[in-house]
Amino acid sequence: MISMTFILGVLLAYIALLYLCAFITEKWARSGTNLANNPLVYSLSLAVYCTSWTYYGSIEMAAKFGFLFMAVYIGATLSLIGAAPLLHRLVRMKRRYHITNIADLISVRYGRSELLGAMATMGAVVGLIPYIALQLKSILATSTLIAVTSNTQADQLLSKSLGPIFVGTLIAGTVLLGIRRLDPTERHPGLIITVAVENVVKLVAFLAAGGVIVFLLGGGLGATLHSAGEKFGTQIQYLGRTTTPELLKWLTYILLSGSAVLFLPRQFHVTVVENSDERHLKTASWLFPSYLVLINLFVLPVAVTGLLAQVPVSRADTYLLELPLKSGHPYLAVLIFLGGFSAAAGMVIVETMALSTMITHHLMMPLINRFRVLAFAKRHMLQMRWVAAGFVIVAGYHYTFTVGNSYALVSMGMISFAAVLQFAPATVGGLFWRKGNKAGAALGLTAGFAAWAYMLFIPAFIKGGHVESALLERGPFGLQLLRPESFLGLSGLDPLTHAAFWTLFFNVGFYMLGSLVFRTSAAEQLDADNIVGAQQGAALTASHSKELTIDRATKEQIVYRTFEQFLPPAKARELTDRAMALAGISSAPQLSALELVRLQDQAELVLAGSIGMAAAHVALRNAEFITSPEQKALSHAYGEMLAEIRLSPEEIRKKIDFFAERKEIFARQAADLQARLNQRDEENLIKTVELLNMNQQLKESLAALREAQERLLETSKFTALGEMAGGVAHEINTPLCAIQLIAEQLQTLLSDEKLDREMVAKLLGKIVELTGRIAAIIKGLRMFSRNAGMDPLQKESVAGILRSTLSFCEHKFKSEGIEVAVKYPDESIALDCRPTQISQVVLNLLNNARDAIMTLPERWIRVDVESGVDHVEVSVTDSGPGIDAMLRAKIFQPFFTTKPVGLGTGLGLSVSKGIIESHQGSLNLDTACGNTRFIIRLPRCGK
Amino acid sequence: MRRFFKHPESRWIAFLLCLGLVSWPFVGLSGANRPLFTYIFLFVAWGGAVVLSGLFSSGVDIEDK
Repeated sequence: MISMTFILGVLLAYIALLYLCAFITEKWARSGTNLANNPLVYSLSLAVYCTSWTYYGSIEMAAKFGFLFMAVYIGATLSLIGAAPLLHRLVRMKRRYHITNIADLISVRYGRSELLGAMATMGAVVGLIPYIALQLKSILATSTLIAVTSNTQADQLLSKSLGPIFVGTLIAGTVLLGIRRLDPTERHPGLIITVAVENVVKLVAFLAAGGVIVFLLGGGLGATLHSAGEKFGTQIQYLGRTTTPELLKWLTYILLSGSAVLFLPRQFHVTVVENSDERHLKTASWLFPSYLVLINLFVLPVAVTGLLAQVPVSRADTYLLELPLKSGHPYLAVLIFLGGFSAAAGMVIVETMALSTMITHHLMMPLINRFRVLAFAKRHMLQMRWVAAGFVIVAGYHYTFTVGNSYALVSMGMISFAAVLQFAPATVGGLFWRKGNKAGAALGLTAGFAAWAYMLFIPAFIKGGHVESALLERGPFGLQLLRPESFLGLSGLDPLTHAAFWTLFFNVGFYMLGSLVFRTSAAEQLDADNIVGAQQGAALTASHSKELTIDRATKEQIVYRTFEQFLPPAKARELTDRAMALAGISSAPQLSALELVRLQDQAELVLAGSIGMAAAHVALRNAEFITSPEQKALSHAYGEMLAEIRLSPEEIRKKIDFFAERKEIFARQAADLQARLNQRDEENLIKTVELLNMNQQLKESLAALREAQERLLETSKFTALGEMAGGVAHEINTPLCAIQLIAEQLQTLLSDEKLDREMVAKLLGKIVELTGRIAAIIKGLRMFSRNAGMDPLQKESVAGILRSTLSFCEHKFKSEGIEVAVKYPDESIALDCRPTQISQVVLNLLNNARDAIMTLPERWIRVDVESGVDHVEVSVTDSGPGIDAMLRAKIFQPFFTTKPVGLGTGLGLSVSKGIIESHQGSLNLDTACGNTRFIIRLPRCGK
Repeated sequence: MRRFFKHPESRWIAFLLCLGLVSWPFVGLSGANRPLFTYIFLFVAWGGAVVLSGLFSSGVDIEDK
């Protein structure tokens, strides 16, 4: 077994570790690295919702009521689905109004009412001190359960002093972590990191304990739950189908936990006040409920394992510790104890911190403001908060002693949740219903808390044996109809369901009735308009604040003196400067009436961070910040504004509503459009990818086409060569024949011995001339057949090109009866060109001309050259009648031909046009000519 | 779906759907000897609610400080 000294030693080490975390976090935060300012830590800190009541009490509840415990956590999850916009709104309000707790929120909404702040605080203190007592009880009970108190003096002393030790530790923790500074609106990174670490420890400890108990000690999850059905299915409620009242109780638990996760002071503090970035709520919306799911996984299986091990159900809240201890896992028990301590300590510290702020702002400050004898306390706000924190924890400890282990303590969890539910109508109504007013909220809260006390709080004491049971059995003064648990004859319901129904009925009913019956003051209505309509309220100050008649220094002095009542001089000066800066009047010597109001508002907000909004409001009012003449000037300014805009206040409100509604509609439409745009972007992206793919395919097709075109070009060239092959053969054959004849003549002369030197020389000269002609033709053929597309441009005379070209075909044409007339230009007329390509074009034109006129009776082809200053025109004209007007537009298109199939590729003219254009020239049909005439126009060499 | 999660009214549909789902074992699933089935059903439904909570929060517009 483990000694008490060891347990306390481990606990102190753990606490020291937590303080070290807090210290380091605070130190880093001061140097600009705030570990607490991230969504993970923020979300984990929200798990302060899970107290020792979750840790130990859920198992007891599961042992008695099956799955009912889950409603406490499922309700919190569902609340996050339905009420997330409310949380966002609260975070924004906290930023704007320096709200520090739920009582502040109610007070600010209803005309900065001190009364409502005090009522909410009273309700929270009465409802939650027993809940704190529950945590203290769990720490004390579990520490004595796992530790054996030996007879040593130290152990005995420790055992007797456990209560004070824990109380002192928790008070010290609350002060050190949460109440070291006066302004509670400032965030506490050290506290938040500590709470987050504690929450991780309790989750790990619970899962470890649950795993060991269920899988090592029990028979596994499936077997355990199967046994539960067999052995306890009919004994334990909520293991199967339930009755209608039981179902209503399930729904009541969901309702109560749903409101608790929003309005419990500690939840409000960690969720709203400690929020540093609204976006963290988004992460918390799934991470926090995930935590709740995990921590509940083993609750029912552990409870069933305990029952199966025949540990009495009355000790079910200790199963988590007892089962490992009995099975010889003492160190696991120590870890479980640390987890339980974390659950309890986290809750006590944060709840106490929140309650101490509420007590000082809404109970102490009104008293101090009212009674001059207490004025000295204004300068000791921080110390007052420490006292309030001490009071809360000591009261909880005292409650533990007084009420002990009775029903009044163990049932206090849900009873506290029911108390917190009473904040819901005034808070939710205040944020969304403009007509809700102070009178309605006061009546609702009074009725709700009174019904709660009558139907739940007092009966808990009666059942615990601390109060006579007559009230519960016979009703007050014997009036059975007024019995607390069957009010007005409503019986058959669980007491909690019964109370939840009646408290909400009275609370909501009186809230609405009071709001509709009683008048709302102008100032309160202004707050309501600001909060419900979320208006910024600064737009009307521009043109009406011209009369600068108020001395700024005087007003600044009043602000400073007011602040100095509550704060040290240096802090008062700092906050005064901040208020002046926020009001935008730091350097102005004189103020207008409207600037004065702005300063008052900002001074109130700044001071509210330290003493609460209601007290700040009262403090500035008491300081007579706005004098009577200034009040008149202010009324005059407002009167002028209303006269100028020609609207009554009611009409203005309606217009604001109208425009606020329009704004909301536009915002929604904008969001819809944005969503559509995003969708369109996605579609466009897909289409772009498709287009890129198609583009790639197109490029590949184009490359293939170019390749095919080049092949066709070659084909076309060789087709032209084929067409002139006969002519070329003839051109070569003619000189060959001549050479043969000369050679025969030489042989004859040689045999007749008539050979003289002069004649031989003449004949040999003729042979040389003829072979030169053949060589020229072959050279031309070789040039023509090669690919000249990549050749560089070179200077070439037009006459040379024509001669070379005509050498291929001239003789053939003549043999076919075609008269060829060429007008050779001067040799000086030259082109910068690829001669082979130009020759190819001319040859194409000549071949086309020849094909076109072959059937005509008159057959001639004429080649003319005309030279301009900067260009040369080569025209090829034939005896044909010209080209039909219908065909002119098509003749340069690729694959267009008028020749019979198999005789033409249809590429000649299109390729020729391409070649000439690549030389910066043009190839056109001369439509004005009576015959068929093509004109090649090319730039002259050097031009 | 993104538009659905943006609508404030959708939250309440989801809320009611989840409430009905987590209450269903006590209304429509008979048999006191089936806690294992109820256990799995409740945790799965709860997990679904957590997912919905996360999805809805992504549709909330954040106000600049």
